[in-house]
Amino acid sequence: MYQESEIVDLLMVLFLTPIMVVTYRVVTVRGKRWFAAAYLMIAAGYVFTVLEGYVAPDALNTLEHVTHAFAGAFCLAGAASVFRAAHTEVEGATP
Amino acid sequence: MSIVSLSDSIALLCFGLGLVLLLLAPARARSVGASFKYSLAVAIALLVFVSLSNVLEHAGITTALDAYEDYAEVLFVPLAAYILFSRSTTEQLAAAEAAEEQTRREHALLMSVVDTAPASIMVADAEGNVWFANDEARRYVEQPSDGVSLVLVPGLRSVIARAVEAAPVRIARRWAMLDGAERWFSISATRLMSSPGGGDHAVVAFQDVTERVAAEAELAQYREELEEQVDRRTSELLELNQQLTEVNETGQRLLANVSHELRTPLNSIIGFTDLMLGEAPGPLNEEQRRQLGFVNASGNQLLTIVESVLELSKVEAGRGAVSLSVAELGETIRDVVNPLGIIAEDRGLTLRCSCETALTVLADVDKLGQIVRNLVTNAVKFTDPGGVVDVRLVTGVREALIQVVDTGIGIAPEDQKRVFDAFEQVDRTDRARSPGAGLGLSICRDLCGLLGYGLSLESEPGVGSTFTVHVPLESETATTLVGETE
Repeated sequence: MYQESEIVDLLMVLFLTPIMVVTYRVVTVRGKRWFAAAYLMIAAGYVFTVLEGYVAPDALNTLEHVTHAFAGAFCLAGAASVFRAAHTEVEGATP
Repeated sequence: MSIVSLSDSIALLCFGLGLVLLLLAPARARSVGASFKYSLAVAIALLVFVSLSNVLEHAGITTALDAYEDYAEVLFVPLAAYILFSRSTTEQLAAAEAAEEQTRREHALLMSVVDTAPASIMVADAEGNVWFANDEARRYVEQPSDGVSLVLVPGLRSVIARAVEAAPVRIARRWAMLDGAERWFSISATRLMSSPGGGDHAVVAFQDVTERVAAEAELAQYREELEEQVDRRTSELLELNQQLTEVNETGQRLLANVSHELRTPLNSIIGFTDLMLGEAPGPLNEEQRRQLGFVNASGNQLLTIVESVLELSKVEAGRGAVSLSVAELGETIRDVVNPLGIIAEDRGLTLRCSCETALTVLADVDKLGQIVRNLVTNAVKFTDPGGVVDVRLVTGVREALIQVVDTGIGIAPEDQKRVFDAFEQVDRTDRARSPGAGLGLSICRDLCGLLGYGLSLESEPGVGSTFTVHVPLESETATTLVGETE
């Protein structure tokens, strides 16, 4: 079965994500595509967490953890991109 | 190790490294910013915590963190949304500030330009209310007692009304100033598309052109006066010219008549002295023969002068009509030069004629012959015994040159223009004045002018002179004839 916190997580994802997509278009952050991909992986993980209470609990649980791993990789890429851009701007050269 | 454990380890490692990289990124960089950097770091830290909790749980170490994992997950999504929105707001604010600064700079620049402009520029509505006026324009607007608002002078209101209602206006108009004086203005007015306050407005530029209008009027008056003066002077000149022509014609007629009347008795004198020298009336002694010889020579000299005067008067009166015919130029020159060889021999000179070039032209043979005769006679007259007179015919592409070259006394540069004037002879200190009236070269010049030929002179005192007649070959007829001869 599901937990209340998991339902709250899912509802917030469902409400906030469409608004975030609109805002996402106007901001100019280095590596924003990586961070967006990481966010979507986390959101997908929330969905799998709720679903595993109903169907295929083992497979969906595995999927949930795999999406976290992907989210971590994307987040690392985004952070590296921000790091490079900030150093380039401050020092005028890629570190 | 299971897939779940592996995934959790990878997630922990990646989120951890990402967090470190983010914290190491300089916050002063404009592309990052402190607010964005640290809020994003908190969000990633939540995920590090969740990953660490999962690793510890699946490794069987502890489940103590599991109780707090839900809080972290609940916080994550709103935090991510906050980061995005705050970033968006920060960027919009920065863009607005940049735009405001840009607008302020452009406005300052525009105001500097408008206030520096020598023209008056203002924005006004059709009712005469002035919304903007540069420094120059403020001199021409009324300022009511409130000291703030500006009102147009009545003369400009109608112009603005026209610009607001119809197309752009560009006119010159005179209107009364605030001090009552009337001045001329050049005005341009255009309807303003985005009006201040939303009403119908026009932007008006005008310039005081009173001085220019006055100067133009003065110039027009001067022009009229000048034209009248030119007309008056032209009439006077025409009248004077007419009088001079009549005087000149009378003089020429008189000269021709006198010359003609002189020729008849001269012929009688020459004829009878010839008879007496031929001893037809009876034998003469030596003294009688010498004195009759003087009379005969003087009579012949006088006859030559009279004939020259007659010829000159005919040419100057325009009576020397041109009679063109096809002629072989070299032959024409030879026919003239050869008989003069006897005179040259008598003076102890060598007369050569180098005119073998075959060249057929359309020319007045008699007048051309007279030109050559006069030039050769002149050369013979002014060359000392032992000298050489050479007549040459040189052909070029555009003209043929008839050159009479002598080794005579030459002509000083200051006298070279004068020798072509009638009755002029160059003064010679070393010898008596040469016989003749000084008309030969003058006749040559006039005949050359009549035939369209050029006549030039090159001379050096003590070395000799070269007179050159330039016979143009430019006409179609002349060119064709040259081709046929070749």
